[in-house]
Amino acid sequence: MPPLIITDANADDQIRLMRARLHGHELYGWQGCLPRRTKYGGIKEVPPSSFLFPRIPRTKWKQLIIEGQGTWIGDLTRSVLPPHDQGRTNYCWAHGSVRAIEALRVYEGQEPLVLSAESIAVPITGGRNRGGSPDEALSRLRSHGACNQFYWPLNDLNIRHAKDGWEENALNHAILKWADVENFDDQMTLALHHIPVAIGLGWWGHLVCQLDPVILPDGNFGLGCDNSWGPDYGENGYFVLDEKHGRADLGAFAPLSATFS
Amino acid sequence: MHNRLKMKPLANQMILPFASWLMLTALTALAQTPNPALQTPFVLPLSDGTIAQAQILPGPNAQAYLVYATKTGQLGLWTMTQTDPTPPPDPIPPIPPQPTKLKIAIVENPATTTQAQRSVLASKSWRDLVVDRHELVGVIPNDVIDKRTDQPPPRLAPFLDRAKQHNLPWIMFTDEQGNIIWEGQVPTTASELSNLIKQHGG
Repeated sequence: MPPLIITDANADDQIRLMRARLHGHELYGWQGCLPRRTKYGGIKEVPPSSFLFPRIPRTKWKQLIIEGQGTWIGDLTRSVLPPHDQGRTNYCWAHGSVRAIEALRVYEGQEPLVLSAESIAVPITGGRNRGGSPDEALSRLRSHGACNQFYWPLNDLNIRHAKDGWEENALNHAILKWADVENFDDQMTLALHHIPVAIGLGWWGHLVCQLDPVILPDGNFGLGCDNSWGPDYGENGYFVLDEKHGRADLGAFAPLSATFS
Repeated sequence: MHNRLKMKPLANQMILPFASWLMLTALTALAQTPNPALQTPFVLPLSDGTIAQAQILPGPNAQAYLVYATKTGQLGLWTMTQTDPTPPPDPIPPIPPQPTKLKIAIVENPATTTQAQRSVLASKSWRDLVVDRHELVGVIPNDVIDKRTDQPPPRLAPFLDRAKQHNLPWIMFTDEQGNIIWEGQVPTTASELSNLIKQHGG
């Protein structure tokens, strides 16, 4: 079965899905992802000069995508990790961001783990069910990390329900090195480098984790992504965005390295 | 039969133009030949392309004589010594290398590893091999630290130290005790990397 591909033809359906609510309540919240609070470059790793991936020109994308079959980080990740499910929370920005660390850990050969999105979102929001921005998530992931979901009940917004040791455990899953992302060419360059990216999408008010570069059936380019709406969305949470709908206009970051546990 | 016969020339190309056939017959008659099968004359091809009439005659001390006569009247005599009739044991086949469980560590600088290098490092082909038979310590960022100590994690420190003096990404195979079995640059293709792992770890 071909994956779900989001284009102009079905983008509105995704928005309706987001608003498809029980008795008028938004199931997944609205504007789960907020615009970044920093300008481009503002979340570039320190020191900024130490990271400069040369952008891979479009003329090379197709060849590299074909050559890279069987190596994409999404293939590695989906075989060992279940999709996230943010339930009725607005924490897509946290789920998509920790998913990027999970995928990075798989690339690094670390034990596959499902990390708690709440462990980065709740300390930021104080437990309120509100949206957040990619750079908020990155900031917390850099300084504190995200704990193993074992320590924090899924979709529980009460920090007192977290098990003892969650903060200590979170330090095992913190971002050490990251990259800022300016445009779709950056996104595709990072995907071709097998680097996951948390991408905030304005048309959707949503943040997802970008994993794979994709050639669409019409020959254009897209991005394979993991959503945080459970296994029933797309193909066990996996779907594809075309370029128009895949541009991270709300901001994005790419974790390059993380602490080892 | 695995009898080994060593042949020593006693009289090489002895020219006996007279009555060579007669001498051959006489020698045959004088010899004691307990094995009737050996008494049967046979045709012996010679190295110069001609043939000779030959016969094996018993001699002393478990020796035998090979006597031959050419059609031009030349007579030849060789002694043959019978050695240990026990066939030598079959050669011991080479022992294949014992499969070794490798610990595999790769140190990279994630900000400078090229797209092609990351394609190799991310490939499922060698990773599946490692999952089945070995242990992947990790694709380790060169500046990884433990956030609690701001130091490299102790179990990764030896690999990080060792890789410092090399161009990254640098790959190391160790045994389970941590002894280096092989180290070097990461190969340029995933199949080369798989072969390298098979070569050193089976």
